[in-house]
Amino acid sequence: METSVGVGLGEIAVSQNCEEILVAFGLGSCVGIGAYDPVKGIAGLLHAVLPEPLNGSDLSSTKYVGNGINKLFEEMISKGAVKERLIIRIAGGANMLTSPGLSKTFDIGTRNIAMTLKVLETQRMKIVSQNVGGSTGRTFRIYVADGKMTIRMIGEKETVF
Amino acid sequence: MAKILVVDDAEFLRVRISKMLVGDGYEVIEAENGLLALNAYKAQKPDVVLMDITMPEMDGLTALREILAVDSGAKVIMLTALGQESVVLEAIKSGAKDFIVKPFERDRVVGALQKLIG
Amino acid sequence: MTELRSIFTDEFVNLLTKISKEGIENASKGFAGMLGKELTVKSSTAKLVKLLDIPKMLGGPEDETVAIYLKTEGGIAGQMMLVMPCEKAFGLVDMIMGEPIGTTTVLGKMEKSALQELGNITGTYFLNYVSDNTGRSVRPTPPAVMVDMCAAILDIVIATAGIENEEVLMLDAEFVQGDLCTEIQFWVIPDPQTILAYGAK
Repeated sequence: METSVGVGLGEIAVSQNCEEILVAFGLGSCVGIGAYDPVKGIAGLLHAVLPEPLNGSDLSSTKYVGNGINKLFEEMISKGAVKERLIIRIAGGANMLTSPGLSKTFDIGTRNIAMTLKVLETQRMKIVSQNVGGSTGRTFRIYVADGKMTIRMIGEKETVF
Repeated sequence: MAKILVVDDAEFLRVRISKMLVGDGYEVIEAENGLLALNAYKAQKPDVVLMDITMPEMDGLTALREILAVDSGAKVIMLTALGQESVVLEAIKSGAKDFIVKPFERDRVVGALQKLIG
Repeated sequence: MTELRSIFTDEFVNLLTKISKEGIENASKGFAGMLGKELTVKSSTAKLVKLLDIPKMLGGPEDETVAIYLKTEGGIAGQMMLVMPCEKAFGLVDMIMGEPIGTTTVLGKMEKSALQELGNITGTYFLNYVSDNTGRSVRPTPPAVMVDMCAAILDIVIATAGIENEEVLMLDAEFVQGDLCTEIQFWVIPDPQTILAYGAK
């Protein structure tokens, strides 16, 4: 009997429980970073909100991509995961506002993706697959049982990526 | 038959206003932003323009000035939700003949048109 | 963000409630005027709720939601968003367009346009009031109508203003047309800067 574990804004969830599914619902401009150690069967999901701190507040918060990724890896490693084995997939980072008349395009989504790629590259971590960009929200799921990761958009079926 | 140019980015409203005016015997042409309004004005020389303000590409106040630059006798009525004092003043100073705030009463619009067309 | 808290006093919330209610009533009267049909609005409750609680109240973070969003420019820069579940949006469109309830089942171009105009009139009414009371001119962008998962839509406000812990105003409005009535919740999410500008007058 599977149980969903919701991962809200700025949150991280790490699990070895085969019956759990880690879920980040409705990622708009937010980016979901999923990691899985296939040997130990440890899954982790980060729901990052912003590329970097706006005005010096909450500097250590995991809602920022960099902090979040570091904390995600830290927690998974503390449970026995090996960083080099981690299978990483990312999803989200949509630009939700694209209509004419909005003088500045809302580009947080793009900036979140860029920061994610930069941070992971700095740590020499390879991204196996990604479902990012566009202008639609996504729900990101990680099945702890086998590390399967899926996304679902409104009106569409859940698909593995 | 007088020709009215209806300028508004909301298709819903253009259709509503058109129906209203055609029912009263006017000929109606439409434009969805200030830039297209300017082009339509130059091409079709309407008798009166009903101009929204908040639009993409070119807003109504800029379009008002552009149209008057092309035809100093142009009759433009602003039809907008933006009823702030500073905006009304700017429109009138720029040469708008009337200023109607949305939501509007049908009679107010028809009355304003009749006044200008005579 | 402590400055924000102290400005969201009871008095200010009451004021925001009053002008938001008037904004909605005003917009609906306008549609009635244009349609020639009686459409009245009764705005019942108004309260402050946490932004992060909105998905739960609307149903769920994945629920299909309609948002009418606009930015403001000029003397006061900020953003406003009206948020409602998809079904409610259908009912609202039916009323605005003078159709029997249940007619609209998909938000096509015309339907989104009707919602866009509702957002324009309601939002601008609010801004006009703020402008007249602060002496600063403030102009909205044309509203954008979006349909997506609730959580994804709220990202727009949360990410831009970084205010996920803040509270917003929720209004319950009942639209009545003849025998029919539909209840819609409107969320007024003024940007902190808008509130601060008002408080600074």
